[in-house]
Amino acid sequence: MKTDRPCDLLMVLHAHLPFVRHPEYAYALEENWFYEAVTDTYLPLLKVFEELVEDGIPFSMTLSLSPTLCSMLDDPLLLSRCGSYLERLLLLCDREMHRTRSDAALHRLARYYADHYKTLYRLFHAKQGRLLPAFRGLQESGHLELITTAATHAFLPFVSEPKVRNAQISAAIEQHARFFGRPPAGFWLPECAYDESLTSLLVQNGICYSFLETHGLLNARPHPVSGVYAPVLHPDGIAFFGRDPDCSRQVWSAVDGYPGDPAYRDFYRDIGFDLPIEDIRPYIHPDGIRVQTGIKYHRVTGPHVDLASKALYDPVRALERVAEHARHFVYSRVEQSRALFSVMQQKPVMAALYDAELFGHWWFEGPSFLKQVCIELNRASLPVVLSTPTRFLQENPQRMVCRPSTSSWGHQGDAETWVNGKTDWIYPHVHAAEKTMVDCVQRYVDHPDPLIHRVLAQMGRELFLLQSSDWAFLIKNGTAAQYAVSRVQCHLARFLRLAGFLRQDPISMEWLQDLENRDFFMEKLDLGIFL
Amino acid sequence: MQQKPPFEPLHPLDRADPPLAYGLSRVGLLWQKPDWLFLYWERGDQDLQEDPSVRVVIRLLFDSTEDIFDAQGRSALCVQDRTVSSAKGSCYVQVPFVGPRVQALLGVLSPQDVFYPVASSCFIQMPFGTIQDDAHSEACQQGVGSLAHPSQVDKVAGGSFFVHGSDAWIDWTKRQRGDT
Repeated sequence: MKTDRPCDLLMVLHAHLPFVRHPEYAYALEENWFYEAVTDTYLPLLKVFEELVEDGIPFSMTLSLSPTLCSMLDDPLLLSRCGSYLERLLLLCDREMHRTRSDAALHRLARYYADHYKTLYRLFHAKQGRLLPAFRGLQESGHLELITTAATHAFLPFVSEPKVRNAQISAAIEQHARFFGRPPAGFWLPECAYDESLTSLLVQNGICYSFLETHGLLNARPHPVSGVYAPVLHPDGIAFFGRDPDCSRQVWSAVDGYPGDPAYRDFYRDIGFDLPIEDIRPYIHPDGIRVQTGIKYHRVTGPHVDLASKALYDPVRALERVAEHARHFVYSRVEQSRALFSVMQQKPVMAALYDAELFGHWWFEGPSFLKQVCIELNRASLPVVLSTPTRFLQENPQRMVCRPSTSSWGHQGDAETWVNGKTDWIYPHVHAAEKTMVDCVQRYVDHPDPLIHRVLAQMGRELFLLQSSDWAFLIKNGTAAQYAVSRVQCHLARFLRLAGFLRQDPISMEWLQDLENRDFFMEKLDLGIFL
Repeated sequence: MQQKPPFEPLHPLDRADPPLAYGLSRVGLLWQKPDWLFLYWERGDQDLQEDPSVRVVIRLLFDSTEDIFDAQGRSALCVQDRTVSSAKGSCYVQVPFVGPRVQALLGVLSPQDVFYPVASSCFIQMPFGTIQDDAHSEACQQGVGSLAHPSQVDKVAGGSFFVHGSDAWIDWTKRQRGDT
């Protein structure tokens, strides 16, 4: 039993995907984002968490699950398609076992993938595809603290109507409580985007804490005396934890970060691009567009090695590096905590904030790393323990009152990733839609016709989907930019047509029904959140 | 692998291009960087009749205190007026000092310099510093880099300084068509 607990380590994973669901297509390229994330990240994380529980290793982590992701993880169509995706992957593994039979090294790797994906497929089926109840179980056993984020991951400082900002927060909390049995104590600000107008809304919605990028806290007024190593309290009554740059750098940095180790699996080299098209045709886009298959036989190899020169992956060696990196991470936290404890009046806390999809999807060995960190922290009586924000706040009630600075975790800590020459045209439209939404709800919320309420609710869904921060991000980065533009245009067009109906424009019932079934999201949307 | 899709591909009604205007007088602000913000506006003809004797302007109010300023900018540390001539537009505006609260007002300025606002943006709070400032956070109280601090600018009555901007707007609906 550890009695000396000078420093708490908060491991906070933020899991989010934009709402992508295309029942109109048998194969939608962008739906693969969901299937890949389930296969690469959410199932492996769940597997690791359940293994830790079975092994009796205590751990506490915080997991933010976005409402769009929860909706997709609860959607029968997407789960059914995800099951088919996994089945196709297993068939591809069998085919690879056969194709590589004359090459011992490749064959070993093909067998490794076959075993890996079979394990995940069995877990998926054991849960009947329903991962949310499994995460809820880990919350109830005290291993996970589940929190939420804005309804569709809107960049909240860019939402111009305060009532719509509130709706993004309130709808998320309502959905979270429905899925996980209790409202969240914490709220992940999408893109860690903060401005001061959010604090009172978060407090009104019962939120006790949130997280900020490092400079959001360090540039606070007055400056927090403990830097990011103690949460601050905003005058409105919400606590903010600042992201610890050291924890981030060791995992995120392209130069110093663990995922760039030469032994780790390379993300980009994939048989979907390597093999002749006839060998992989059933496993890629039906039009012959090559995609990532998830079978990748090569390792990072070195910092400037081109794809063609990558060496073969060695899973055993990679796991050895995982153990070494986990020890290094824990050792670094111990050293850090000793330094902090020697200068701080109060108990320090280190908040390690990461995108969940880094673990497993981008960094294949990431879930094993997390498991190993938990094991290392439990191995000896170390001056660092895993904790959760709620536990830390309960045990450490003393807080400095500060006003954090407007900030985000985008490039340079500002908002240029989301508002720039490629994306700024979006916001005049979104803001017009926000105003229309508020006006329409105020005017029609008491209307006796149930059709009006259906239209208003669908307007709310379309507005939420329009506000997703992902579209601007994708447009700015040029990845799936055309798709993102089409999503903005499509949700705006739907919203405006629905609003037109309220002004007596005719509407097709068939179209409305179709829309409700396509954007099957926030099924029980309470219009009161816009008032 | 192939299965029949349960829905038809995108409905024709969902393909409409975004509107070119909304027929409203409005002005919006977004923070972009610690020293830059994005400003857009639209002039509804019903609100702002063409009248050669008045100027249509956007008034930007910058404040670093806890005081609330009024539509004339009283109590604001810095007021910028930007004449606008086209029906809608957008631009990026550099803020005159670090960490102000900002509001934009769209309105008309009479020949007697009386400002009549017809639309206003939300207040936005600009960052108190840059990402580089976080280790040396004193900088954010002293002003950063080349940004002008109020003390360096000629003041006018009421403790404010007043700047007249140029009309360098870009139509935001052109951006959505990729024209610029």
